[in-house]
Amino acid sequence: MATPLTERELKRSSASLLVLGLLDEGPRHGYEIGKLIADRSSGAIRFQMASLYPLLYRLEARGWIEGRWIVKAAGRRRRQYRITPEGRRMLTDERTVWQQFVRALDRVVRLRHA
Amino acid sequence: MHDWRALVRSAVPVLSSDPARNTEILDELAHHLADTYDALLESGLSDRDAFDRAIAELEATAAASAELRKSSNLRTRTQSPRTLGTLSTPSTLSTLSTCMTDFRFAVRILTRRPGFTFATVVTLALAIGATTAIFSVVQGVLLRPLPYREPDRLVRVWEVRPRGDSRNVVSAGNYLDWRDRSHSFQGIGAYSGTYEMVLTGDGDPLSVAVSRMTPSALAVLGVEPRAGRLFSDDEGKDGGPPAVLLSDALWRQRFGADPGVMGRIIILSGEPYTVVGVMRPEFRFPDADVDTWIAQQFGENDRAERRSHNYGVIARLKPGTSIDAAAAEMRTVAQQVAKLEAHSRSFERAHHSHRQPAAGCARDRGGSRSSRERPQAPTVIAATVTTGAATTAACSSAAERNGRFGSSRAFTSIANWRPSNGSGAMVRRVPSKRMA
Repeated sequence: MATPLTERELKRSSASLLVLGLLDEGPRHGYEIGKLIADRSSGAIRFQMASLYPLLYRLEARGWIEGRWIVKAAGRRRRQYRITPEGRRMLTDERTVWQQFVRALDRVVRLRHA
Repeated sequence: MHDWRALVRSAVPVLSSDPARNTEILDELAHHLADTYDALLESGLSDRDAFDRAIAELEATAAASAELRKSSNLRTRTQSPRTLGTLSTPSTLSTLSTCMTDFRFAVRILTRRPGFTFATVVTLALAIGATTAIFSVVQGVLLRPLPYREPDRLVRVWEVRPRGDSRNVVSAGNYLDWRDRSHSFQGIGAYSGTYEMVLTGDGDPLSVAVSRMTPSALAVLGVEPRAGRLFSDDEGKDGGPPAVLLSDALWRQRFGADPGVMGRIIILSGEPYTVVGVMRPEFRFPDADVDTWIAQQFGENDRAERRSHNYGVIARLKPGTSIDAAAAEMRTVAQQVAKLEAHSRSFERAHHSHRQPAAGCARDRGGSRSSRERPQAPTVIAATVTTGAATTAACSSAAERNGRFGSSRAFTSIANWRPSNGSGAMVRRVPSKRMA
């Protein structure tokens, strides 16, 4: 079991990858991003509102994602985020880095057989 | 239907000096909360539980508003330089805003949950009430100095019984022996507890609270009248002219603040007394309720009275005389008295003098059966600590339930002695404070 510190560090390190990866599939609003991360990780990774939106604003400030308000059918306004071309390039790089890192870990400690 | 937008605006301080940007962020958070709440309801939670969970998330966000503010004001590539310049967060603005939003948020939460609000108000009211009460005791017992001249030299002298109450009021005979044989004191005086007498003449009969004081007791305290004079020595002797001092309140209420009241004869429970003076309004000895002070008269016949303990005794140490020295002398005096009193009961033990304040002695109404003292300093301190802890616990409890905000005390005490009647004497530095 990972220590709280390890979990926090892993979450922080992978946050950009997670958001960019989800937005690479299509535009999503903040709540949807957080819910998908939790659902797909089976609850292992969760972003509360207090940490999700600062992350989104940082990514937006870097120009990797952009947000815009849209009005949905039910009349609710949503701020929807989409990945930018630069964000997509970053996602590619991030994926490469993480893949290499996971492979390296696997070679060292045989992660997939643990 | 919950107004998430209003709740977010109440809870989260200003995040950006750009009003439009600030509104965008708060709206986005409100939408997120609304989605969270809806999803929780769909998962089967009750409205109350879903609301509490959503509020908990809002509170966590509000607590992390600094990070949110920082990230929301980062320079974005799409913003113009002019806009960017206004995005730096002014701390004074946000601080003020934080206070206002906290207040609004608290009001909203409290009005939304009347049960919680009632419990919180009751809890905090009790805690604050207890704290206030105990502090008033601390103030009176430990902090406020006695309203008398050189209060550190004032002592109270007690009888000490071989068994039982170690501080007892004094018999007339013992007081007279102490007065005549002791040399440590510049003065020593006695006073009675407060009791009721009926004032007649000059209108309807009036029940007044009376205390008897020897002329020397007033001299020990070092007080002065506001009009007239204090008791003369003759008025304190057996067979002397009966004299009375009026309190400022009685003087005003009964006598219309008549400056010519001095020398008048008033009738107290059928006995005539001459008014010799009016005391200052701040003089409240030995009790705040006293209306008149009658000159206590002692004669030689009173020396034989050892069994009735009716008097409080106060004394003023001579300059340079320590309380320990006075205590030692009183032990000697006690031994002398014991030898002289052939019929007296033997005393059994002596008490060491100590300066431990006997808080509240000053308020002792002087009854012979009970000293009715105020709490001692350690007791008061312990009560203060306990009350403080209880108040902290109450605040913590309230925060947890909410889920967010989760004269000189020094009448000197000396020693004791054991008079022949079986009681000893103890001079004790008592909290002088409330002899007023």
